[in-house]
Amino acid sequence: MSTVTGRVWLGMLFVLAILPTRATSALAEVSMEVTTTGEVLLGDELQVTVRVSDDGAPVAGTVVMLTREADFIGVEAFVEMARAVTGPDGVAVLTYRQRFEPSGDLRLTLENYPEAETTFHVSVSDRGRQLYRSRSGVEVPGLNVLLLVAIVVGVWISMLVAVGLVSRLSRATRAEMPVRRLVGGRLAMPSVLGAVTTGIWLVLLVVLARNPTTHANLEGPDGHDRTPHAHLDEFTPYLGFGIADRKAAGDDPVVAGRAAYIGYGCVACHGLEGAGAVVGGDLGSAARDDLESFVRDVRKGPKVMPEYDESVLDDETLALIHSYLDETAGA
Amino acid sequence: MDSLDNWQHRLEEVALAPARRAPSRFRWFAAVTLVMIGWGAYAYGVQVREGLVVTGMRDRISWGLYISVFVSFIGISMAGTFISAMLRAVDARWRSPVIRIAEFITVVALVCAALFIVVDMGRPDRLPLLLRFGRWQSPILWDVLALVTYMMASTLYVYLPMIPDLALFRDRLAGEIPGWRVGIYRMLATGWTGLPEQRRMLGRAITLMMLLVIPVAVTMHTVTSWIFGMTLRVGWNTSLFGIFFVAGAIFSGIAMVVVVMSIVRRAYHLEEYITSRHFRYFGYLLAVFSSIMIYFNVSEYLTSGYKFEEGREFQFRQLFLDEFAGLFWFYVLGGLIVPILIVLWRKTRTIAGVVTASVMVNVAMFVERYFIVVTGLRVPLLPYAPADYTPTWVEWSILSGGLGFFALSLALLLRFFPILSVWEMVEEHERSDLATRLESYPGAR
Repeated sequence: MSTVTGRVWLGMLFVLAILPTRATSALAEVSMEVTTTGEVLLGDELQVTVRVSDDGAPVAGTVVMLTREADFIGVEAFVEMARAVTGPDGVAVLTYRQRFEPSGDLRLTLENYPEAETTFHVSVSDRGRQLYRSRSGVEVPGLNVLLLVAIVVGVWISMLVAVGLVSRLSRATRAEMPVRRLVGGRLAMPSVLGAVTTGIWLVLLVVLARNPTTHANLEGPDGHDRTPHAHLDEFTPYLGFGIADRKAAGDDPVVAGRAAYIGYGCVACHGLEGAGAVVGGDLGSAARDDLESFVRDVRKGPKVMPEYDESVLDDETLALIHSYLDETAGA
Repeated sequence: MDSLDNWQHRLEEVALAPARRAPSRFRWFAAVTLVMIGWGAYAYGVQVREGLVVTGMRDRISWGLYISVFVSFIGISMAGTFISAMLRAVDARWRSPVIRIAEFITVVALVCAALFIVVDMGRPDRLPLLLRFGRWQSPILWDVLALVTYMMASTLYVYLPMIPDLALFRDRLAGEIPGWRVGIYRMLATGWTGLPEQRRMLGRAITLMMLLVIPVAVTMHTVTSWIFGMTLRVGWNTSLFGIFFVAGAIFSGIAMVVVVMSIVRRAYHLEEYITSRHFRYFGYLLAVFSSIMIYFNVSEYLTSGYKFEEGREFQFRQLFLDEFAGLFWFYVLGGLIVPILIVLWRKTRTIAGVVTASVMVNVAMFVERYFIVVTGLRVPLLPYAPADYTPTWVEWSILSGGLGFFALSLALLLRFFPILSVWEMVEEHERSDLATRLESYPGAR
């Protein structure tokens, strides 16, 4: 008995749910009113409120889709970012997380009204170098950096207490030693131990204390720590010697080509000596080709290879790389 | 039985002997280790000049021999902490002749571990950036915090119980060795004259550090495991890793102490103090930890194998059947099962037997770290063929340099610093001597 009643109720709910969409689909002149801040911090959620109305009357139960135009290796498409169903007041709230950098237009469409479409602009600010923001896990009060600091403070203070005991031990001596001489003085050992312990301890505390202010930790409006993309190379460009350094390579075109081959990252896909690896193919045949077609291939980027234009890799360097490959892979 | 004074005098002479005169083959030993260090330094020069491309870590396997060596040295460093602090905490009397050796191993192994972190870096010039931009959310920074703290704590923990023995060196070696060396002993002995108040202070300091160094050591080994466990890798994806590493560290620490103990016993003629009893007891400890390791292995592979989530099949296949099967089964048989059998069977429970078992454990535990590191990184995360890794001559050379450095530093410490904890041995001897005399005293019962 109860299952029959349940089924009847379900059926009625189903009819109720699809009725409004059925009823309104025939009508035109549906409009959308979008409310949003229009700007979003990279990695944050953007909330888009849409009010769908038909000549002023709210449209309930219709699906609103938020899409973004995107292209991937020449294929253009609309990527769905979020979708929501309007409530009785015709309002749907869509949220999406801004993961990509470019600012651009977002498009709102209604499932049942293909002609109703509206776009709006969102400007994305990356506040420095934010690339990706991870959700924070479960937050347990006290189980965070404060605990880390408490442990570091507790352990190191205990060590300082031990050093203090050594100092008291030294002062209680009967041995004839001067007190304050740095080497051989009575307090030399406690001083050295105390200075080393305190010094290291302070460094560790400074590292921890500086943490929120280094570029590695930005705090968002909702208080979460962020994980930005750090460009350490801006601080320490590689100036040393090594295989990727062309100056160290000297005049030999093959050696200089090897440096360029590694320095420009060809090695990352094509492996050492152009022998081919998981992603990039064997460069043996490319090396045997003449320089012109080699340059053309690199500029154009066959298959999924990125295109290296003149501004990135000049012809002269490409010639060096070609001569290197000719020597190794082509041989 | 010897009178107490005679016994003590003989003990002091034995402890002082290495500082007076190097054992016969010390020069040869130093020469060999220096050649190893030199060869390792040359290989490191090649690596700094050419980059990490000269190692086997060129493709997706970015951790290899160096990180295995780092984990192994961290594990060996558990020797001093466990054997010295734990045995001191439970007041195991038989510990006194061997604790100094164990404590020296700890300090030297920690220095070596830190060195291998730097060796593993393609850009060692970036080390200061860790302090500048280190992130407290990162297990790497936890590791730095733990390592620095552990180094400081174990240095203090080695130094404190050595003070009375350094005073012995200061008093007895004056005039026999160059003055500057006596000066160093004088400074290190920091005015120790054995006053009751000094004894009290030292006792308190040692107890404090003993209580501190055990949790710090456990933290260190746990955090080392978290470098792996907090990463999204199939082979490392287990909450067991922390305690697994701690147990493995104690296991390999004990084995290393036995090996060093046997060499030092021969070289410095400590047969009277380091007896077959010590080897037997360490053998028992070895067997206990071996069974704990077997238990952890079964627990780990059974739980993950029962569910067999994605990637596990690959992981199990390479470990049990294919590329790493030889290493894995050597570890299980040679490192876990055979040592237990050696210790359990009375006929092999000799000094030679326990030392053999310890050598096998040392090798097997290094092999274990190697396949943990490499197989973990080898399981593909993307649909590509798995990467392969073989250490190059540069990596083997730097490893040999590291081992040479470990051996030479340890030998120098043992040569110039009190090898035996004389004052603790005397205290213990007095206690047992008193007990024997009380027992033989008429009317004692």
